[in-house]
Amino acid sequence: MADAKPNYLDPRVLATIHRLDIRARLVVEGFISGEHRSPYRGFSVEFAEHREYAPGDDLKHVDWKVYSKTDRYYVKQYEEETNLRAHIFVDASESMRYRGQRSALSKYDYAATLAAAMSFLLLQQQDAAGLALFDSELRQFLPPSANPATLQTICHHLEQAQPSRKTNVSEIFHALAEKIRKRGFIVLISDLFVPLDDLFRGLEHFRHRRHEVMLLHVMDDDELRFPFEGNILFRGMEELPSLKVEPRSVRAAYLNAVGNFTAQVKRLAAHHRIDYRLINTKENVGATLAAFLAARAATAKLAGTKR
Amino acid sequence: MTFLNTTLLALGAALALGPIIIHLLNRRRYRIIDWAAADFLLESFKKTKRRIRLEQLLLLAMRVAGVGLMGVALARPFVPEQSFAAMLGTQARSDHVIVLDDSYSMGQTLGSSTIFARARDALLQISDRVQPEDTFAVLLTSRTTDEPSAIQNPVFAPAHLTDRTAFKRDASALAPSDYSTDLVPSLQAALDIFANSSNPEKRLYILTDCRRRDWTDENSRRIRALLEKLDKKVARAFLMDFGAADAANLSITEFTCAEKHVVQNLRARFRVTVVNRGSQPALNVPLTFHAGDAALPPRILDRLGPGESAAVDFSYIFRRAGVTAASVSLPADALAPDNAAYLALDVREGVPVLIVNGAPDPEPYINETDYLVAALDPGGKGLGGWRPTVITDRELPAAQFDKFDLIVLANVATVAQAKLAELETYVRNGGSVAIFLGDRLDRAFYNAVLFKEGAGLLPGKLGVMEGDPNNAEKSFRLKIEPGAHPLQAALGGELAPLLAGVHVRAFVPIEISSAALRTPHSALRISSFSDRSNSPALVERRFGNGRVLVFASTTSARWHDWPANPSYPVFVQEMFSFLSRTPAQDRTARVGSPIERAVEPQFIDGSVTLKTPRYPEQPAIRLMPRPVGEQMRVSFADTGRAGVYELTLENGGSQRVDRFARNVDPAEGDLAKAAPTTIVAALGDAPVKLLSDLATAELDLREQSRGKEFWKYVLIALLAVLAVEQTLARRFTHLA
Repeated sequence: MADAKPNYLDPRVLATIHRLDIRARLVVEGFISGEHRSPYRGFSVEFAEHREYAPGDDLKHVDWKVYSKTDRYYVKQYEEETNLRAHIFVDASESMRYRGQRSALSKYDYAATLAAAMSFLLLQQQDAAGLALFDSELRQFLPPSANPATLQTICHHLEQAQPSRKTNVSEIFHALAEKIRKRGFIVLISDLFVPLDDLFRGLEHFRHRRHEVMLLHVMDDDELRFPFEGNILFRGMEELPSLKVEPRSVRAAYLNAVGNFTAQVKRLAAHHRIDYRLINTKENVGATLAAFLAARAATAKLAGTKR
Repeated sequence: MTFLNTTLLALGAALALGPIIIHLLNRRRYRIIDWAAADFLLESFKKTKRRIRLEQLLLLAMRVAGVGLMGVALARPFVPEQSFAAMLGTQARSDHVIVLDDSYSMGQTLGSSTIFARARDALLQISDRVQPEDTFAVLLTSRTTDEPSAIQNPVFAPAHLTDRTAFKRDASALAPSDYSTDLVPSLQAALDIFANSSNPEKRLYILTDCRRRDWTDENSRRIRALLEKLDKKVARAFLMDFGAADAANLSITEFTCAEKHVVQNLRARFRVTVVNRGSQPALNVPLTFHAGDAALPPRILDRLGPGESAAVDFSYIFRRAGVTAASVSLPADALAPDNAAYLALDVREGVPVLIVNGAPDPEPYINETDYLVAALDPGGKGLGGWRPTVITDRELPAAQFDKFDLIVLANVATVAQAKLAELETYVRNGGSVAIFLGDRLDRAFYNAVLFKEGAGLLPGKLGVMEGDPNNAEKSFRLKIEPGAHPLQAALGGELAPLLAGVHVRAFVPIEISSAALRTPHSALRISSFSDRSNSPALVERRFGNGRVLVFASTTSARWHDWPANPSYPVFVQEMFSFLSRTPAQDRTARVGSPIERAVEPQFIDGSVTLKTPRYPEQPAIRLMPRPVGEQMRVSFADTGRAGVYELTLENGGSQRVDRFARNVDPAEGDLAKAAPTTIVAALGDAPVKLLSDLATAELDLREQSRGKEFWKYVLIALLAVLAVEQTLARRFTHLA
């Protein structure tokens, strides 16, 4: 319909917005308005004070004990926890630059949008959000901070990154695990074109440090479905060799290899108690955010229980 | 393998390169994509590399084969059947035998051509398609396979067609004969050719006009019996119907002489029957009679409706003795041979008969045979046609029986034993004897020698004379017994009242006993006397090929007054006509009947020449006498042309001309066609294909001459290849 509001979570819409912070806000706002629920709902929060009921307040939050004593309506107000420290690791290697023919965003753009939106959400909730950009090296590292201005910094770094190198996570993740001492929530957004052993050894290091780890595996729709026709010279990124092939002839074998790979990743993630999600860059960003929030809530609850 | 359209074949071959070129070009044309998941791609490529290459090659081969097969199919490939045999390691040869119906109905005109010409064209077309390795033979239905014969089949013996020009020249000269159709001998000859050949393939082509008369139940059965002998695995037969129906055609179906003997200066009567075979009435048709070089004014047939026939009588007096010819003719129509008919006639000065007088007497009419001789020439002008020689029984030993057409024994006492044997031989060979009894005969001799208990000439045993020749007051009447004997018919009709006036004073009883007759021919009583015993008066029996007739009284007026009765000369004339030896009928016969003739001794050292109906176009043929038994004879078998054959025997100054007539079978002039369904039904399971017209025949011939065409199979192969290519392509894609 012509007057239908754009779905801001649609990567095709997001792709038209160049500023990442705006894109992040749009994602979060779109996500929230789409969900019609408070972003704070379900979060483990501490009671702070009462205030008088005003029309529009949820009746669930009316303190009926106070009403029985005072015959006046007061609503409980809570102070949210601020002790969740989220580290968002974004893969900025060359392979992340790939954007399929039917995709609006490259894997990196999608990952950056996701990272910014997550940061925005976290900062909105007074959680601390940090960023690590890496390829074969750690390119940027921002320690988690609950300062709202952090979002600008995160977006700035994400926008400035130029994915052009190989990936190498083995040393970087170990270094980061050593560096991040305070227990937190690690979100890795990557296409995982790395040796899985190295990857999971690094992630295991984080788990060893009692971090909760969420693995967002970003793949382009082309990489998942391999829908090519005709003779194509596939020029390998990250210094991989080129291959001229008739795609239909290798599609089945390719999809089988991808399937095996993702299945292996999934199995290893489960083994290491890592929350894993495979993301198609054609997918709505909201679905990924919802998964992220669910994981974040679980992490927060776990943290609360232990406290 | 050969291709009918080599251009398309070359095009197909060129197009078959198309998939390869496209494949190579496609390899050069590609898009470039920077690919992140190159690891997976490399891994999958390594795994599938060999299979992919195989699949690509297979698909490429399928595509090349598909395009190539399309070109091959369009080029209409065929393998000459000989090639199959060659593949099998046998002789790569076929036997082609053409049975060409050259009966005269094939001469039916169609515009400016004839159906025979069309069949002949088909024959030439067939020959064009015969391979050099094949054997080729042509049989004409008019020809015979009997040996020796100048008209022996096949007219073109099985051989390779090495000199096609000569063959075409000779085949173009073929023309319809005057024979009627009989496919059987030629078909048998064709089967014999097949049987005597080791060539693996047999082809039989029957080029005919399929007339109804050729496909009667009996003919069909015979034809089918032969064609069913064809081996269905290797033989193919084609019955090509070139016949055309509904032509205006009149046929002379009968031309006969009503006289037993044609005698000079005596009127001879002829009967001609004409049938209208067409579907339209024939109006004002002139029918002309020719005798020698003379012709009678034509008789006009006013109207002859379709299927109707008309009998026309002619009479003619031949003034000269000798063998001559007569003919009748109709004007030209769609079919010429049945428009004429011929007779060869032996015109005689008179019919020689020998009368042996057993009771000669100087007194006229007391002399035993005077009445008889007078009755043979009633007017005394020689108009009876008989030439009697009268001898006494004493002269009998010197008589030469063979010179006479009838021998009469009149009151002869006995016959010398040697002469009796000669007489018996004469009768056995077709001569006849009339025996008149009387007072002179030796009854014991007659019974012992002539009757011989039924083994002799006499039809019965003689008894003792009854009556008194000198007593006119007591007499017996003659009664004609009922029956169909020619003499009964002659005497029992208008003559019966006259016969009633005959008084027989004495007769010799004849004891007819069939049981006593040892020959299969029993005696026939023609008339009887009115005595108490109803004794036989006139008795006839067959003896060998001849006849013996006995009158139980005298031939003179000694024992009766019959000679004074007007019925007597009639009786004598009828009796002589009936008994006289039938002239040989072989002068006039159907075409194909050989001419046979004894050569008189005076001509053996001379020359014998024969002029056929095609003379002078065909020069006179010299015939060489050859011994047959005790005779020197000449013969001529090639009498396939209707007309008069003139045989001239010469030696020094003497010359004798003999003539023979040969006629077509008038039934062949019936141009009614046999229905195709009838023919198909008649052929039954025989491996014969009936082709309805020339166009179909030519088409089928062309197909046949091409051997086995394969374009249909190639097309099927093409579709199969395309189907397989599609299936493989889908399968490979799905697998990929």
